[in-house]
Amino acid sequence: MIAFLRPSMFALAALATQALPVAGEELVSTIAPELISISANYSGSSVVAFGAVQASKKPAHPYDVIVTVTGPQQSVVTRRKERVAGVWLNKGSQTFTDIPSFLGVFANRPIDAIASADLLREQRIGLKRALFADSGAPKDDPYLDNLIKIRTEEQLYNEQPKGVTFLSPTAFRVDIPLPQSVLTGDYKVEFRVFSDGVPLAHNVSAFRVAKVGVEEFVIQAASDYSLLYGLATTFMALLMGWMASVVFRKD
Amino acid sequence: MLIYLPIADLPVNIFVLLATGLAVGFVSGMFGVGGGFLMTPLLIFLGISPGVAVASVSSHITASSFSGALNYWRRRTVDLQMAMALLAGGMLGTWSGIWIFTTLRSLGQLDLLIAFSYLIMLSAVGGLMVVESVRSIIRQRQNKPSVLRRSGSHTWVHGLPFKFRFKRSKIYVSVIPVFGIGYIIGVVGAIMGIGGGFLLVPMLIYFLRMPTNTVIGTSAVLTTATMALATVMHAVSNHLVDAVLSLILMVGGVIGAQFGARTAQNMPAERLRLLLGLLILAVGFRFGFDLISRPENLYSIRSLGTEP
Repeated sequence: MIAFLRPSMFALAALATQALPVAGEELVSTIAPELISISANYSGSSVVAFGAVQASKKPAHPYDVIVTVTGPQQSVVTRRKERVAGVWLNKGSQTFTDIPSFLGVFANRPIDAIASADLLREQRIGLKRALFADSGAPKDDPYLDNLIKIRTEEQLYNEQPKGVTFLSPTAFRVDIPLPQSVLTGDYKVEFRVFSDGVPLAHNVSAFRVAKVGVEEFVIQAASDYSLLYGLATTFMALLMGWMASVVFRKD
Repeated sequence: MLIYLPIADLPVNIFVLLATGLAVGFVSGMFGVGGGFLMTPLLIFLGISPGVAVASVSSHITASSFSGALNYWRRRTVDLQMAMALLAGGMLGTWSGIWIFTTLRSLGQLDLLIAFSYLIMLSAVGGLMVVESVRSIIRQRQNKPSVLRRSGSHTWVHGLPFKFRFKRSKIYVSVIPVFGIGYIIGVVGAIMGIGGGFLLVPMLIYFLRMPTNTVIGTSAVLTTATMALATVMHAVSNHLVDAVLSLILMVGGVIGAQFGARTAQNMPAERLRLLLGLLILAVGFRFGFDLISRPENLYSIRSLGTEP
């Protein structure tokens, strides 16, 4: 794999020129940009991935593509409110250990139509299937369902059956929207090519998310240098109080 | 103009925050209170999580109390001995409050704790204020002189041992209730994000018989110290202090307080107290209503940390 840091148009052109005759199918892909800097006050960003299938002969059926994007892992606790003595309070809870903080599943058509249920389960393709094995939760778990629902509203979990666009019968692009709240770290991008339900090629690349800006500085300081951060905030408060007492001095 | 609050993890209109700071500052200047008991609920109603609201308002209160404390210090109306004695209890209280806060947060019941504390505290204080001020307004209408408690009279508090002479306030009381009052203010302040002046001042007057001229300055010094400590401890144990949020609130609050103080001089004290009492009651009822009404989403999630 050659890494391209060029704008997307060039990346696609480069992919096309790379096409060499090979036995069976091979998948080449590129991601732009490979390092994405998100400023915390920005509404979000997106990453574009391109891929091309190289084959010695034309396939009998058109290609299908499923792209899975997985962000850094984290543990999450889901809580459920119940009415106790007339008051709504958190009663039940379930902790999901080491699940992806970001999960995107993009395909050119609904994934159930691309491959069989067995294959999807085996390769853990799809939002729930990817999370299911990670968390070890039972199949119909309202906690997991609601976790997915909340994360989907936050655009951190994203299943788009029309997220992959074919530019030609063999070349495709996928737009990966990243909301502002994504975690910094490495993001794994798995490309899978199918034809008539049969997996043909598989390829993994990655991109990295970094955060910049004053807000990010505050977030980092608050979590990594909490004592210093607390003292600085208090000092700022005392300074403001002193300034107010000087500026608005009555005597 | 939208601004992103890094710790609250929320985009908020900066003018809405400034206006909130101004309004609460105005009210706090008008009534001579810190305003935490209004600021924290308002932030929660704006959609900021209760934990972040409490922790961030602590630093806002540090600023407003310190500005007050400096003014009273210049006028020599601070009993430093009393403030230090209160602070001994206050520090332990703040520590306990932070511990309760952190423990309940890990159990997922922090929001409930904050809502309940506000409901109880605000309905009790607001109710008392309304009743008291309505009574005195009626008394005035009937042209009866208001009944004042004799400041020299003693209570059971004065029978306690370990007595100490507080020179500036000219009182001779046991340090046990002083320590206890400080402790209560510390606990309540850390859990609720309030300075606690509206509790502290009456307690100092009724239990310790502290003279009114030193009570407010001393209270401002104690509040500055306990809230500064609470800010640092909230930052260390829960990472919930939003410095950007605090800064905006401070600017609004400090300016608003000046206008509030000027407005208050032209209003009769009983009306003012009735108004504040009604305001406090309204905020308390809102918390009660939120507790019993069905939440929009029964489920909530919280990230526990990132695996590297």
